[in-house]
Amino acid sequence: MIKLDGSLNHDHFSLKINLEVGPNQRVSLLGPNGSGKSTVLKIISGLEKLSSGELKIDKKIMDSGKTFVEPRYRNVGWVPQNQVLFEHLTVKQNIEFSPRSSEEKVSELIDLFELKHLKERKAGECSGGESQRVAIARAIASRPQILLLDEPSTGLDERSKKIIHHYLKTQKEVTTLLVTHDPLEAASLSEQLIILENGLITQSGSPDEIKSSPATTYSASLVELNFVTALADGLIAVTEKGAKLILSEPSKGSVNIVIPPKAIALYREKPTGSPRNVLKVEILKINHTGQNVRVNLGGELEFLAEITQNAFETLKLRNGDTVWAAFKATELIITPE
Amino acid sequence: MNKLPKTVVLIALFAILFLLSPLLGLLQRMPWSGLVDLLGTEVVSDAFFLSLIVSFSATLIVLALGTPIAWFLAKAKFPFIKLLRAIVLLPMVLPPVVGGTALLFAFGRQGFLGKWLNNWFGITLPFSTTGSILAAVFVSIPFFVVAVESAFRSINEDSEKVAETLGASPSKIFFRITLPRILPSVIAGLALSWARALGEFGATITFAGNLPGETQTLPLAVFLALETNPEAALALSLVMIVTSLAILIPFRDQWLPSK
Repeated sequence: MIKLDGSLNHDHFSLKINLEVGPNQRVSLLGPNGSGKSTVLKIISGLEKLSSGELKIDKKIMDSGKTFVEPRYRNVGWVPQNQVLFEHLTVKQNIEFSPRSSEEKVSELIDLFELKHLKERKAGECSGGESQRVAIARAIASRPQILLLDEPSTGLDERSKKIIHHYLKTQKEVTTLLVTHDPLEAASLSEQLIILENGLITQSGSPDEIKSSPATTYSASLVELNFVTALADGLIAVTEKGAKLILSEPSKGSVNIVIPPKAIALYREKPTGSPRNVLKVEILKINHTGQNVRVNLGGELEFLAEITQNAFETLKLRNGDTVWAAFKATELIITPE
Repeated sequence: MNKLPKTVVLIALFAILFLLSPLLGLLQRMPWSGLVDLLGTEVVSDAFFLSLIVSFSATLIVLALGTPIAWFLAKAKFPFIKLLRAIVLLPMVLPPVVGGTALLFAFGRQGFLGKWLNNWFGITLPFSTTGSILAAVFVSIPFFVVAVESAFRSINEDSEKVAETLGASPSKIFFRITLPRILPSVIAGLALSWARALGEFGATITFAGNLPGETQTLPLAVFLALETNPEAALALSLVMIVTSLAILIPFRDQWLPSK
């Protein structure tokens, strides 16, 4: 679907990238600020020209030394950062702006993004969350083959975030490339992560692969990847596999629970005493990362624990061992899905 | 709002008084009793309507020609763009008489373009209403271009880029996205250039002459009347002042954009 192998050189910045995204895949570009994530989106949409190399979309050359297809003919939906709307037009006029949109699709999207009551409002008067819903609906109304989203939910209200995430998770019509610096968002919205640092791809793979064998310090710092999705009701949350977690604050509905790897302690015998979450787990994989040891755990809950070298030696852990993992409810970070 | 320092207030008051004094001079000498009769004369009404026709036609032409120029100056990557901008803005600083002379040499009967227009189309520009309009366009277009070019330059282009990815044609982007966003500057530019066109004198008298009913606009009529009938000159001046204020006051917000 997207095949990009090329580089771009600006005065103070250069990017060298080689990536491939299959049809209907959902991919997230993750990386620190200034790593070139947004530039990758601009290259694909045609707003930036490659200095060398080639970009193909659907086997057609879009950008190479000889060819350059203008953005208007690429059929790529681009949703830039900071909610760029045509402020002097109404919400509906924004969504139906593309000559490729149809009345049917527009009204479907207005419903889907819960914009019916705002239809006739001037886009300039919408809140941040409303604006982003309009911006995404407008891009989708243009029937793109590829949807490019730059930080789609940064700074939005929970309701808008939920509507947008729900669409991105359930849609099956378009290949999506998402730029974010929120690893939790990346992992929950896409099958594949691409880590970009200083204009280079340093790692790519599924969230699980990156979690269990991080290639760089940046990948290793993505503790937010250590999360489970669970159904909360009050102080108890039950994961998809049936593990019960105790929460420190009441919550309701589907939530993402991040477990900071360093907050987890491992025991050979079932620990008693202070009330904590205690789960029986199996050791899947052991990684030595300098001072600490990263242990991939399986069982009722698949997650990652990071323990000290000392603790590791005392426990004499080996792959396949069954141990007890304990962590305090107050250490968990809970975000509504 | 901060309290203004007393010195600033004093200087401002003094400056306003200075700007107001010529107006007061006019009003003080105004022949109020005979005003109605004076305003009713053909010379005054002819000049008044001609001024409106010339200034508004010129402003329309300025809008149609100035917008593309401003857009081009703001966006085009072009090696001589600075020189080009200076040429476009030249009439702003050029003495209008020089402008009128230049127009005469270009569009006059013997001018290199005028000769051609005359021979091929039978069009004669100098000493005609069309010539007055041409002179007004020439002197007023820079005011519009300056206002609109800076607006084109300062708007964030992300909206245009999004519109591009949505498949919109360049003309759709220009008319539906860019132009509406710079509308306040366009209106400000129009008000400025209209005011300049209304007050135009030097280029007009050089290029179009001073023919009553054809090229004798209000400023020209004032100039002529000053020698023959000073009271009429005062009345004509009053007409100009009232017309200008009537058009400019409603546009106050556009004169001071970003409010």
